[in-house]
Amino acid sequence: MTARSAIVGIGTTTYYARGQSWPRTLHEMACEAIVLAAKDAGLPVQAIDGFAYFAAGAYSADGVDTGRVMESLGIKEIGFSAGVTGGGGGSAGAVGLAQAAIVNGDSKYVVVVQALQQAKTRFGAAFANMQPSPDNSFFRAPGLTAPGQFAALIARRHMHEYGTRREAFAEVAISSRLNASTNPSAVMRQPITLDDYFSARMLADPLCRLDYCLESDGAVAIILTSPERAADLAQKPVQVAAAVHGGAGEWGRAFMWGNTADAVFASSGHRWIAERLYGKAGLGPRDVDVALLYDHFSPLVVMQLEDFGFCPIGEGGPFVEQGSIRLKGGSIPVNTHGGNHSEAYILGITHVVEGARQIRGTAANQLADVSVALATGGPGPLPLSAVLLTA
Amino acid sequence: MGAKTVEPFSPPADIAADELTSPFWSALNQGVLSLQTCASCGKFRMPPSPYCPHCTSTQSSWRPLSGRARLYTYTISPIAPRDPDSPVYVPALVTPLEAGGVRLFANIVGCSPEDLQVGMELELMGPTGDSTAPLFRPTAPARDASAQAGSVG
Repeated sequence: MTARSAIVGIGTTTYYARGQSWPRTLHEMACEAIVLAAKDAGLPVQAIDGFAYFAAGAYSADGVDTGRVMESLGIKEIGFSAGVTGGGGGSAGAVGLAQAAIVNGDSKYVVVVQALQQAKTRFGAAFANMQPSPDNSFFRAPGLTAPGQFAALIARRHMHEYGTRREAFAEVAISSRLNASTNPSAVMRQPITLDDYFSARMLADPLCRLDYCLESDGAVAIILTSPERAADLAQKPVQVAAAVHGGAGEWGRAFMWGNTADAVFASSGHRWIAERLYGKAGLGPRDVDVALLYDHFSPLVVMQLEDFGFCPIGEGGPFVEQGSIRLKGGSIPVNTHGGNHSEAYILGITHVVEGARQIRGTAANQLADVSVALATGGPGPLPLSAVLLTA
Repeated sequence: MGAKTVEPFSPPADIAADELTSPFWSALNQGVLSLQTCASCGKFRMPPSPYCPHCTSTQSSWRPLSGRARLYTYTISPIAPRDPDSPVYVPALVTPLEAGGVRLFANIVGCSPEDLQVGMELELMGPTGDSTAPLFRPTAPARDASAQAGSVG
């Protein structure tokens, strides 16, 4: 299928450990990322005429604001400014939202922006920070105060149904850190061992501290345009073969619902996304050269490998334990940048950045002959999302 | 995490309720598990919602249940995350036996972490102390069961 949009510019700030970007501001970091993305594309920043977001305002009122960015950067006009609903699950979906603006003729150059500064509010305590409501009282009363505990409920069920071992979750953490160790922009670069994993503090059994992603500050901007315009710009275009956001009602709110259908409870919720994504692109898991899988919690990487068809359902544990996701020698290298576990957690959008860099041939841990990259958003409450990028 | 007994979550979370959800909490305060059912098709749903997801009816009623349930999945967390010797609590999803597979979030109490097993039978306890969560305990404490097995063998 012919691509209808392409990534032409990438800009990122330095990635910081949570709170360490102070006294920079969220707004200034977002502007820096946008300026760098325009420069990367070979465009004046004022050429940007559309904004696509995800998780906009989901966790903080202090988000990136289109009007304020236009004021600061002297952007003359926009024909589009919208966000994918939900949380980090929509990260890859924001690429599709940008494409929608381009295909509809609303904008020529759309920037996907995400910026995080967790000086005041920690995402890791997202549910503890909530005021009691009639809805959240059902999970707050038993002390489900952190996203990791919900991931643990899913992980336990996967272990029960399929015999998955903590060694599999450890392999996700260990391989991500190994990849980050040779990525200069990664926040955490010291390799970890299986011993480190099994001596790490249990936070939500079966999840220990090393099953959790980082809490980071920083900003990312990605510029998209039509394939025709892309051909005239500075970088080799990265084609968007397909971008999907959505999901099945039986997955629903997943984490906070508790009544996800039994058949998909021990999954990442991505089976619907995978089917539609591969169908739209005319591609399948065998075509994918690198998988950038949203890794807020390591067990859900194992389940995404199943849901996206890299191994049969229930076999994700043995699949990763045999080295399949390693940068060197793996059949499907995963999170070559170090992922949210070790590079940075900017609500998952860094996976799209890495996918685009692998296609361009400019990644810190560049693989040979990458022609298809998968980047995902979620699992979390719907919508989930994913994108397939091609050369 | 040792062989200590698991505790209810503390400090207790404040409960907010409205017309839709207060029957659940009122019943729980009386030591009864009551769930919303559709007045049209009879199916249970959780958490309470204004429409039946099966038939879109807005008519519902509340049905008291036995309080017996099975453990669907659980996690174990320290009550004080920064204290290495913190007591632990067990957020869980439990499946009441008579509710068509509908699940609810609860705490498991009355056993040690090592006793927990997916699928184990549970029963509702009345409110314990200040806890505001539904509290379930194993129906036949695992320790007694193993002692019996030992005496027989």
